[in-house]
Amino acid sequence: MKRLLRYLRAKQFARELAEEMQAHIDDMAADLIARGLPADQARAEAQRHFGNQTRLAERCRERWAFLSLEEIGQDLRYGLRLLRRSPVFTIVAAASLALGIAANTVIFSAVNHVVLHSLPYPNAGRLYSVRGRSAVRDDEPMQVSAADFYDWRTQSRAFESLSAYASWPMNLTNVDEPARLDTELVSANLFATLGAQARLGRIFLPSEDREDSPPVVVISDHLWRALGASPSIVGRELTLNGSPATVVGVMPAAFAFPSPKTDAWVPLALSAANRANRDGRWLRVIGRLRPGVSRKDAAAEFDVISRRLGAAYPKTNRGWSVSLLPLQEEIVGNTRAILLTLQGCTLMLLLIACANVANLLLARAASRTREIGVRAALGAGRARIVRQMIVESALLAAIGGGVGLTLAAQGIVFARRFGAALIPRASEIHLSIGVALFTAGITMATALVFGVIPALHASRFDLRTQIASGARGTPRNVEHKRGILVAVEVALCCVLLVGAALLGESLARLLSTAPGLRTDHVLTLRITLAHAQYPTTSAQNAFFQQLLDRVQSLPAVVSAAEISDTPLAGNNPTFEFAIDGVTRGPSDPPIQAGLRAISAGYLQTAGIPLLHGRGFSTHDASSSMPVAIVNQTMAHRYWPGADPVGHRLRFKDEQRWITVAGVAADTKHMGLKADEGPVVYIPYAQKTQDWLAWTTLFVRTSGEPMQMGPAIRGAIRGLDPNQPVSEVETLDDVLASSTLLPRFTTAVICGVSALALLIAIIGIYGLLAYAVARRTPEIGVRLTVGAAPAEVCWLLIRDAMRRVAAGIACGLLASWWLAKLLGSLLFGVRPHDPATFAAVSGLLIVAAAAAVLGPARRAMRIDPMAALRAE
Amino acid sequence: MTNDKGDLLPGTLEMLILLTLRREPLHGYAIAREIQQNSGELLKVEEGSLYPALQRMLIEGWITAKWGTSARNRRVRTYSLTAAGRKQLSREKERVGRVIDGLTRVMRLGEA
Repeated sequence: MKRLLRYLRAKQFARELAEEMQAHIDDMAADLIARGLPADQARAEAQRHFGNQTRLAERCRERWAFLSLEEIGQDLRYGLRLLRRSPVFTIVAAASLALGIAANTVIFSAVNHVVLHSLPYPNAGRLYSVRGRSAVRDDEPMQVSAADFYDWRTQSRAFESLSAYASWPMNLTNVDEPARLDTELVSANLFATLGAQARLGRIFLPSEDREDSPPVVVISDHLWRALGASPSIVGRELTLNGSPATVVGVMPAAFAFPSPKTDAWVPLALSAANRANRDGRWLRVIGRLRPGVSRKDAAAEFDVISRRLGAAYPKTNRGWSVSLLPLQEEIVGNTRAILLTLQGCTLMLLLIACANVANLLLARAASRTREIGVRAALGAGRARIVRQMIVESALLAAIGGGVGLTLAAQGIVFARRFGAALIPRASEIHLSIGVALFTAGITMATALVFGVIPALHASRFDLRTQIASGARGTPRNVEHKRGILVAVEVALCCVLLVGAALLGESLARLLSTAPGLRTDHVLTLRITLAHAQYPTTSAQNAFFQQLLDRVQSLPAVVSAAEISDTPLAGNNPTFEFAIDGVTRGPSDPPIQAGLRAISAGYLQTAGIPLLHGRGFSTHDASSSMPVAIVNQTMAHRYWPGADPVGHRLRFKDEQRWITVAGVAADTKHMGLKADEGPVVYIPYAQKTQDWLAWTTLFVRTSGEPMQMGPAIRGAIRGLDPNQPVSEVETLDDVLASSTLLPRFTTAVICGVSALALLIAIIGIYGLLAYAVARRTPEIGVRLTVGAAPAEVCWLLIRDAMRRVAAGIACGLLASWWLAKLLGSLLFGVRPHDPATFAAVSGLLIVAAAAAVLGPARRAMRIDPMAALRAE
Repeated sequence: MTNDKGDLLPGTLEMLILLTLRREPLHGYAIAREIQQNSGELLKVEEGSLYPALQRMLIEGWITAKWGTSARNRRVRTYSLTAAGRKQLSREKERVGRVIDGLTRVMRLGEA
């Protein structure tokens, strides 16, 4: 406020000061006259003695305020004028900043909302995922058996509540278009554990978790909208898997547990037998810690509980412990590493952009020393000059930041729309105040970083030498500083390129991985039969056989088959087996294998080679001898050096022996990154698991597979009009979506690196071009005294390349250290792959050489006479 | 502008101004002249330092300014001491006194 008043009074202040100083001079002149000097001489002497009035006025004004509004206004106007006068500089500088800032803002928004923000539940920090872990198996933590869950619930004091849930898709049929719902079976207290309330109706009552209580369902906001968004939905009956369930509540749109795709929640309502089952580990458990209880306390308590259960039930629980993971970390998972990597890359890009702009400003400040000298001579204080240059940089940063923020807003819309398939919590991403502050911070830091260096440099000079020496008198140390900046740019660029190259190579290897089956011209459709309607394997098999026959007879269908889980999509239900002749001690890892129930023609239709023995035929019916086909990994692991055909195996909890009829090649069933491990294929007709009521229809077509969708749906409707179909996709699309995240990550990092390389090349070019311009007279002299143009040219190139080499060396060292962090994102490439490091160095040298070529040629063509005359 | 013309020790100018104003309110030129005369022409006040110093002291609140008429019947800005200025003066005197004391001891040591 005071400052504003002063600003308004600035004119008055200036007038008063001028008057005061004039009075001073007049007084002095009068004294001199009194001593006998002639009047005009006295006045001149007084004036001379008083000195530079403008400068004095300026210094007085500075006393009033370090930054007066008036002066900032002046600085801004002056800065804008200068920026307008050199549009190329302005555009290059502002654009590189804008891109750097935009990329950082978008990525930081994602990091902020996905990684940093807690989950949208009250006191989300107390929510943990509780999982079983076996000492015998060295693999990932596992799901939990129902009996263990209920024991935990009664024994744990550390958790105020524990809840279980399991994915259990259901068919919704009493609607116009039958649909498969992503349903979760949940313990009734799940919503309470999370701290969520229904937006319509209510959440489950504890009594609704009992087997004999009337079936109820809570639906998601999007299902509610799909059903007509009627407020009177509460109380309506939905037919789920053939039986009615009453809608008791609708959750708010923001509630997305365990995933945004979840359509409905149904109480577990387990039977007494299922509650006591300790073998089947199929529940996922979350818990809310009591206030004040730490993760360590809870882990210690669960160690005790696990040991107690292990002693009481050695057959199922020996060697099992519990692993606690914050719910947030479980949901965010691998995305965290990817987002942080991207954040690191964009930050480096911004640093490079800043270094480059600093570089440009430094060059400009050097070429403006004369102008600054004149301004200083006219009475501008050092502080004023420094401030002027900082304001100029801040102006540039503001333009960059403004444009960057606009770009970022667009980028975030894009990220939300396309990120949903890639990262969890994508819908939560938005441009928030925190992100705006972050951007403002980056922008301000940018202004400081590249405003202060040139400003300090430009103001630290001796006035007289400056004006006397003219424009060429730029000290060599400007070039030295610019050289350092260029080296920094090259080093950062090198780190980014190494990262991009490693990820690019990983992606190339990933994409060239053979999936083990033919993915072209295949349509896959997921069908889950209602258990109530098709309770047994024979009923289920009869339906699918009829369906296969109908689909097979459609025109443009080459062949049709079925498999219980879609290949490449990542589902791999595993079972424990026993093998005839192989004994397992209690401490040996159990024999685990993925189970696939397939139709007779599946291996052939999918193009999976049969290595030994025979495939299934329609004669392998439920009444005939049980047979299986094992994959190569299974054959090697359990029958090493022998042919498993003719050997027998069985499900561990069954007595019926199954004879191995053939060996099939491995596939990438889990997605290209992972091996599928041991697998047992059985004929769908012979499966003993009645609950396994689903299948994937696998149709090879002669034309575009997606076009067959309606005809196949028609065939299904013809068999059962109430049967929903889901996940209608071509196998190529399934494959593509399994590599979507690495492709996206790699594309972003390659784009960022390419930009960084471009900026670094501009930096190198600028450095040398400026050096040539500055040293033209020197080159002229050298040429005159007989130096060969090539020698001169080499002299310049050597200078520039020394910086580049230093940059590459530092960059490679940093990369060596940073590459380890990429570890989890790499596939088939070691982080310290020497070939990659060598290739990146080569690329940078070639790029640098290309950048120095232009200015170096200009130096060779310098006409010595012209250069000297200009001197 | 070399030192034989009687440049001031750094930081003493403000004290000298305060001392001068303690007797009577004066305008800028008069302050410079007073200091010069009272020091027996040994000390000389640079106008380039005087006015910025006056501005600073105004901001600090040690002095106030009032437009009035000079002995030569000219419109001038007259500065006078405030209460805060008097306090500052005693602090400054003590400080400068210590500096001079120190200087004298060192110089005596140098002569001995």
